[in-house]
This record gives sequence, C-alpha cells and structure tokens, in this order.
Amino acid sequence: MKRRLLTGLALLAIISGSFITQASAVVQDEEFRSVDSMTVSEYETQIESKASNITYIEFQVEVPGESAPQTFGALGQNLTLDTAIEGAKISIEDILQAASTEDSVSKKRDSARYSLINKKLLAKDLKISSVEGKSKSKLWNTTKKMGRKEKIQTASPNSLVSDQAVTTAAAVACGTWRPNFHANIAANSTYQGQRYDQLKFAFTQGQLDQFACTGSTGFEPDLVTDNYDGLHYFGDSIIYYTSTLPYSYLDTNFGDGVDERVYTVGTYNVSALEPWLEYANYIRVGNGNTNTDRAKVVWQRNSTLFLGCFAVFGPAWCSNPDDSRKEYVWDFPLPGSFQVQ
Amino acid sequence: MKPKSWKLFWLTISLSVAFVVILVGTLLIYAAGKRGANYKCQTFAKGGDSFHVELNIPNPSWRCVIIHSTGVSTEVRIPLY
Repeated sequence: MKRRLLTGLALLAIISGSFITQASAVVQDEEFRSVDSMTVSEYETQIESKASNITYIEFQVEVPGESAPQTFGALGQNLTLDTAIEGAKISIEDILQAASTEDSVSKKRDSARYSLINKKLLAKDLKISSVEGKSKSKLWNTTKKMGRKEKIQTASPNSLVSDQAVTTAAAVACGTWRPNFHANIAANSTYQGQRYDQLKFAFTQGQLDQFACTGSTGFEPDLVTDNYDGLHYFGDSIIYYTSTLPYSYLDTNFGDGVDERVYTVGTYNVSALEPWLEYANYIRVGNGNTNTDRAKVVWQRNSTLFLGCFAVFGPAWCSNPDDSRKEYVWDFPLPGSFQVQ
Repeated sequence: MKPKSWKLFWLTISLSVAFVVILVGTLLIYAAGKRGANYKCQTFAKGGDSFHVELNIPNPSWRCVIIHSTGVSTEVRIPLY
C-alpha cells in the first residue's frame, strides 16, 4: 500500500515536473518589444546578450545638415545588429543603383549623402530606436523609458467622437495636403533573390499647412501593387526598409485585402516634415511569383486613435485614417522607373 | 488611509479597470474595422479621387465617401467587419 502510494506520488511528481518545465520554457521565450532609444553598447549589453531570438531591429543614423535622421529597419529571424547593418549597406547599394536612373543632380546628392551614412554604419555611429523578439528574461526593467514624446500632437478621445464631422468639414474647408509625387523605382536588389522599391515625394509649404488645417498628425504613402490576377512582383513581407521621413514607422498589413498588396512606411508626426525636401521610402522584399507587375500610390493622412495609444500599441496600430488620395493608378511598372519632372 | 469598506474599494477598482478595458477594446475594434473599410474604399476610388470612411451609426455600416477629381462625390456603403 505504502509502495503504491509512493509510486503514485513519484508519477505525479514527474508529470507535474514536466508541466512546470514546459511552463518555464514558455516563460523563457517571452516576447518583448522595446521602443527605447539606446546606444549600440546599451543595446548589446541589455538586449542582444539576453534575447533568444530578435525578429525586428530599427535604428537611426543622423545626417549632418538634416533635421531628421534616416531610419533603417530589418525584419527576420535571429537578427543581430551586424546583420541589420549589413542590410542597410545592401539597401544603400540599391538606392545608389536606383539613383543612376535619375538626373545628375540627384545622383550626386545621393552619392554624397549615402557615402556619409556608410561611414557612420562602419563606425556603428547610430541609435537603436526599436527592437522586437523573444527573450529568456524580462527586459523592461533594464531599459530606459521610451523616448518618442517630442512634438507629437495627439487627438483626445473626445475628438474621435466627432471624427465624422471633423473629417467632412476638413475635406471641404482645407486645401490639397497630398505631396507631389517625384518617382517610383523598382528593380532586382543587389542582394540576390530580393527586390526593392523606392518611392520619392516632396511637400510644398502650402501642402504642409493643410495638415495643420485638417488636424491630422500622421501621413502614410501607401505603395499598392496589383494582385487581382494572383501574380505579384514582390513577395509576402518586407525584409528591410529605410526612410528619410522623420518619426517613421513600418505600417502593419492588418486589415488589408489580398487583391491589392500594400507596402507602407509612414510618419506619425507631420509637424516635423519640411517643405521642398525630397523624402524617400525604400522597401526590400523577397521575389514574388511573377517578373512583371504594376503599382499605384495612395497618400493617407491620419490622426492618433486615442491619447497614449502609441506608447502601448505603437504608431502602426494607432493611426486612424482621416482622408486618402489615390494617384497614378497602375502607372508604376514593376520593375521599372516612373518619374514626374 | 484605509478605505472604509474593502468590498466597495475592490468593486470600484474592478469597475474602473473593466471600463478602461472595454473603452480601449472598443476603440481598437473601431480602428481595425475602419482600417479594413478604408482599404475596401480605396478599391472603389479612381486616380485623382480622394476618399475617406465614416461610421454610419443609424444603419450600422461604414460609409465610403469618394470625392472625384471633378468635385462630385459619391458614397458606397461597406458592411461592418
């Protein structure tokens, strides 16, 4: 009887032990998202050394003479800062390749700008702005509180209730807010098996003034590709992106359909946009299932869903679309260059 | 300072937390629905058109308002997701 009891207890201990081990394994692989601005050494000691799998790294490089830094973002599995920097170098090679199809002024400007950024990448002179992945231990206590607070205008929850009236009134009262399209260039990446797209645009002072008029705080230039036939030049998800937009973020594809694929890097602070400055969004994606396709652009202005939403859910999930404008429907050849002089 | 009634204290805390959770949840459901409706709305618009979606309260649906480059506007009703 005693022996049976002991055997039963031992079995129970083994079963519960295996459950506890499994449970702790789940705890060990806890997901984390850090939106702290940190130096490379802070990142290496506080994040990289403790994380078991990093799936997203975003960092920023300051460019002398420019008010906004250039943002680089890498997505994948088991990322390291070195692989993210390598990705940035490939992106720069692609951007310079794209610039070779443009006029000599753009070519010269891009060449000077990106050779400076390349030097900074080599010296790891950059700030890590966002990291996501899985970690063995909680990382929240080891990092500083997020630094995205400057100049952000957020809508109060009350403004959401009257959103309908505001949107309609703004659309009537305010003028053209969409930027001027400059160019869209798509081609095979210098990294084999991948493809890129670069979208360029600029605002006039008058267009920027309209953002203030409408009350919108965010802006998203959506590159939309045709997938009605199930054939797509770009693969499913973005592998790498870089943007010269201030306060930039990679938008989520949540809620998007399958007929038209959307690739977006937006900004959540339009007050930091400058007039007559050409902004460029670059995305790099895996190969799709066709070698030719077409695309269009949809400009979208947004407001914040509710106060404090960014801090919890991030800008991609908190951008409330106020108004959009569709242009150059299926005019962009993929691959190819489409430019407006 | 101790609360006079712990029951009332915890009830207040629970109701406040529930209120915030419901409020934030509702806003996120609204955002997700509007995002999907906005995507659908853009497929109806043509080049040069501007568009936006509004919540149509009396008849639960999204109202897709398309303002054509000519200045004429049309509306498309999109069901709630």
